Amino acid sequence: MAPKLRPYQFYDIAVSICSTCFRRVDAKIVFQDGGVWMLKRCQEHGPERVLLADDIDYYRRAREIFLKTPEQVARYNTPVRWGCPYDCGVCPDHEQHGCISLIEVTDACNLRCPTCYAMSGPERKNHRPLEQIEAMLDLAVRNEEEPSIVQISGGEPTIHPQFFEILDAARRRPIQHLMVNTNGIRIAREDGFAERLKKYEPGLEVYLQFDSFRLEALQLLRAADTRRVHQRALERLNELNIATTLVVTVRRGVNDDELGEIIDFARSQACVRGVTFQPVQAAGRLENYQDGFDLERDRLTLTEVRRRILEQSDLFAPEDILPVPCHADSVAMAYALKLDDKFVPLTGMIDPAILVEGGRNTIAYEKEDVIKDRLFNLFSTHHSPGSQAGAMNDLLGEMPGMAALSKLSYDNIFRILIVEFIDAHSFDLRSIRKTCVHIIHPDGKRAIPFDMYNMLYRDDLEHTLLAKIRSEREPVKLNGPITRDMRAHG
Amino acid sequence: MDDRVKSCCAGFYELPLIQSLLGDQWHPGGPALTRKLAGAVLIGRDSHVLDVASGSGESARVLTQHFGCEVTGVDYSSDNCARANGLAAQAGLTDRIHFVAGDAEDLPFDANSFDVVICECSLCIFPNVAVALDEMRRVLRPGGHLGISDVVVNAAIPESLQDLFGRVFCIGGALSIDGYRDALAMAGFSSVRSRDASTALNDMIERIERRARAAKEFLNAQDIELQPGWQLPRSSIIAARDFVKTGGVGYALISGRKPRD
Repeated sequence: MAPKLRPYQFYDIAVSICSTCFRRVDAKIVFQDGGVWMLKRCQEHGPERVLLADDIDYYRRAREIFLKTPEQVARYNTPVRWGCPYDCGVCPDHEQHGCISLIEVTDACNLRCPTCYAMSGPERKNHRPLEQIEAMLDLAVRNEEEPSIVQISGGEPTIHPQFFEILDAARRRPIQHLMVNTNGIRIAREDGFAERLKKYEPGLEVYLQFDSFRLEALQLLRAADTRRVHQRALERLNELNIATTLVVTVRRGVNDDELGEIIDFARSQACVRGVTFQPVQAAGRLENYQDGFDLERDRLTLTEVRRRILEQSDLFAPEDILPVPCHADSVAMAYALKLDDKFVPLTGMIDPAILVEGGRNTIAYEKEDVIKDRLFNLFSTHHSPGSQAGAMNDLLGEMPGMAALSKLSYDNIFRILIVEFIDAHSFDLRSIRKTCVHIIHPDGKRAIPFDMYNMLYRDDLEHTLLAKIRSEREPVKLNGPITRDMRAHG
Repeated sequence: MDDRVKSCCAGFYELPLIQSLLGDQWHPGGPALTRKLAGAVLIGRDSHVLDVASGSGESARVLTQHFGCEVTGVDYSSDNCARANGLAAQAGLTDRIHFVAGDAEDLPFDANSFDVVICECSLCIFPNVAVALDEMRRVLRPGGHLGISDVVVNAAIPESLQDLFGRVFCIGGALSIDGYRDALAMAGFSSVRSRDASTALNDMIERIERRARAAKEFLNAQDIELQPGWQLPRSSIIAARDFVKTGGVGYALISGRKPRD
């Protein structure tokens, strides 16, 4: 008799949450039909099957190979009380400090995007007062001491009446690098605005929304034709050479066939230092989905975005786009050198056996300490652009024949980033513990992993959904330290 | 195709002693290298893959099970195809893979039929490589990927080793890395990339050497008679290993794309 076999390869168990009630549930992770799947079951809302990745080897490499000892926040702000993920703040159980600290200075926006995770829009008038924003900046500094990147976000931060005072307030603090997350409307429409931004260089970067070249896609994602805004804003940013990253919200079937074209376009813009691709997170406003948000039809994973980039662009080989060790599940990155017409993926220049090979070849990292250290140094998002250039110089100095290129500046670096935010569907406690994009709560007392903020902590969620879940849980009785490290929390 | 191919591979690999020396791996690197090749050419859940010279169908099974893709195999030997189809049926994979007999230089498929074409350890034994590459490009969809794994020859092979490399590793008309890259470029492929995989060849020789040593102790034989009249001295296995280690012969993955326009 033939043995009775599972139709899948069992890989691991996991702790997840139900995407309906957000209560913790048991899950398992299996490989089937070339995909990585999470199977979970809620006592009340039944089973769920979620695609986590469409590339088993990449998923395993990210989990098993790209491991880096996590860095901790200087201070924990909340105790372990209700259990993960119901204690966010950061609590001592979190495994990663904030590579990026987000500060939302307003809920108001001059667009009303059907995909907004923050539910921003013109109808929301709530600009945070400057002193509240200063308290939020102070918290970022308390947690990170010298935050590598603080991103001023919203809403649309540039319409805050005290926008430049906010930038001044940030500049007074030991923040290495400032990012302004914007749809570009004010840059495009207001003469002199870009010039004022320019004064905050070096150490300022515009994080410019740029989803598509096509009207239909922009209508679906932004409910607005932002093409003219993109063009005008980039003209001004190019003219002043203000460091800019194009940020692409990727939605399956809407703009996921344009990724290669966007990279080519980005390359041709003098001010553009890279492109960040963010698949839509199932959180906040999810309008314009036919018959509602459909898991199988509408979700897009990191590896699917990576695959599309590789399919649509010949600039990068698979070994050029790698997991970022600080949160390897959710962030992938590729660096390239942009020199005149030349475009050289950096990761492809390093012995692929050292970089790429999983399993037994991890030993190569140990053999190649110099490369390894430089590489991990390079491959962590908490780098300010200035030190990226330094890390690349260090790396290139090791390469035969590359000495001529050893005087590179930030202008020559081009970075592709794929950032997949975790939602209630893909929630894996192991991975959520390593999230390194932390959003400063408007109360100025907590920094909450961004993914969790959108699921359980934003606006009323904390007082409705989260409060209900907490009320059903027993608080931890003996909250002693597990490791020596946690004594710091006191 | 001419009979050189058959004499090199098909009949020779059926010898029990060769099978026990090579174990389950018919090409260097085995399934692990097949997976690596698949990663380089972006095989995924939606891919329809053509495996040229699919042999017993092992790679097709690995690809379907690991990547969830659909695979068509084509092999010069109809016996191979029958066996591969039988093994696919045993594994319950007949809805995802099937094998047809055909000539790599005259592929029995329509133009633009496949997302990916792979050809493992076989290109160098095709009598007319240029024609075979043309055919692979024809059956690929625009933007589709070609993935080759093959023996690379970088230096003249010493006469004493020609028999071993020729028969066991089928080096046939193996080229240098640049030779393969040029051949793909000549055939109209773009984004041609190569990746060294010589450790796979090295590992294979090491394994043969270990097995030969065990055979020697067990059978109390000095050399191994691989087939009547052909002795394989252990010293030549070791010499072959050293030749690989010094880079005289290697193994590589070479990939390219059919241009999109």
